[in-house]
Amino acid sequence: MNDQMNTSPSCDEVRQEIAALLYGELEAEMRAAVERHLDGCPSCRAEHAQQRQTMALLDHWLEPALPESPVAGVTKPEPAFPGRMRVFRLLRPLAYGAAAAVVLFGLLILLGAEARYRDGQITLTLGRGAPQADRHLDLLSDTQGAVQVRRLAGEECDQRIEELVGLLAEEFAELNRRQEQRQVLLARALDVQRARDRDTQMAALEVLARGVGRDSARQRRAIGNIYDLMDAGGVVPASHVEPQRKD
Amino acid sequence: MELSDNEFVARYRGGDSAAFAELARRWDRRVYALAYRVTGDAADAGDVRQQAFLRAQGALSTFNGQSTFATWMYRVVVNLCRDRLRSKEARNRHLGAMRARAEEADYGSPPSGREHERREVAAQVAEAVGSLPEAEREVVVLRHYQGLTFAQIAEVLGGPVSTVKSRMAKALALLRTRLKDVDG
Repeated sequence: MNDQMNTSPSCDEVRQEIAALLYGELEAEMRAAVERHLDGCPSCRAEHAQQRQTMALLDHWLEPALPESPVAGVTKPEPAFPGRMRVFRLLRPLAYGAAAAVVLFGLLILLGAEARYRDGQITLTLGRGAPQADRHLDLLSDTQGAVQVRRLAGEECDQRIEELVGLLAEEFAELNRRQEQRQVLLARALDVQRARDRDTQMAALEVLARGVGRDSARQRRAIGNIYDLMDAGGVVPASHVEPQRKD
Repeated sequence: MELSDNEFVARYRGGDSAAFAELARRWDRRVYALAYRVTGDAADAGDVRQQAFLRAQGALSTFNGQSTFATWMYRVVVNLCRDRLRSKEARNRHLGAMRARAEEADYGSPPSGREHERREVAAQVAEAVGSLPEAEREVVVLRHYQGLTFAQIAEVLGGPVSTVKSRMAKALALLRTRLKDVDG
């Protein structure tokens, strides 16, 4: 039913406008035309009653309570907390180096760090809690995602890394890890970041991977992703052993 | 006089970082409610909520004002919800979760008989809305729960108003069938 006044709309046209009538959206002339039709059409009148009844049932589903997590945390970094460190800027395009950063951040999150991503910088805070921890590890264990990153290069890789790191920053959750273990692995992670050449970086990655637990399938997949990354960089990890499934 | 959303956007683009915090405060509840009803999962809704504001903050510098901030924000949230639901795992979780979430919703003190009946109806409505095809569900949530007009919904989702109205009519017909035994 178009905007021009239709003095005798068809049943199909009227039925499409019943919801708009019930929500009070129809212009005066169109409303009058629809109401005239309803007055003379029992079938459409019944449809009108049924739609109104259905809308009334929809009202029973109340608005969900807003979770506590403040939106202000999105715009402002959290205050200083023991273990907070300013980490790095995103690595610029070298496909494997950038991918290493993604895996690196993911591992840091395994350690219980919470990260916020803003304006190309990531701030890590250790020891903060967040709900739904397990779900957020799915990204880290996404083997397909890691392989996809490995194949990209240049600007495409940059963009993909931006997206992944941004997503990681949003998905982080605290795991139940000992503070001591977190500190050790964080130190190893920083070694990766500070490495001056690819060989040193890959060696530091292997050291980091050896320090990650293998208790869960997700952890094992995350480690597998690191080794895939090292393979792509032409480095054969000396200590690489296929993770054993714990059933 | 209270500033409009677009005025706050202009202030933020002019360097007033507090302006975005005000926008976020205004939109927080709406964003979460929309995401919750479309995805059917509180965890997904929380993530969409966080991502939506992150994305908004990052993109406002290039916001050209051709549409209102409201239209733009709704579009961001709807797209994020679609991304969430795209995976098979998310869809399965969604279909099973709608009813459970509505039943678990915290309404305060332990339910009386009448309150229990009301929650049961709410759960059934949630399940019915959650079972709608994605396109129809989006229209129902945006119109009935978010209060957008059909013209605004058409702008958010893209496409003609007639398509939006058709989807609404189809959605109401499906809901009528799925809620036929529910006594409100």
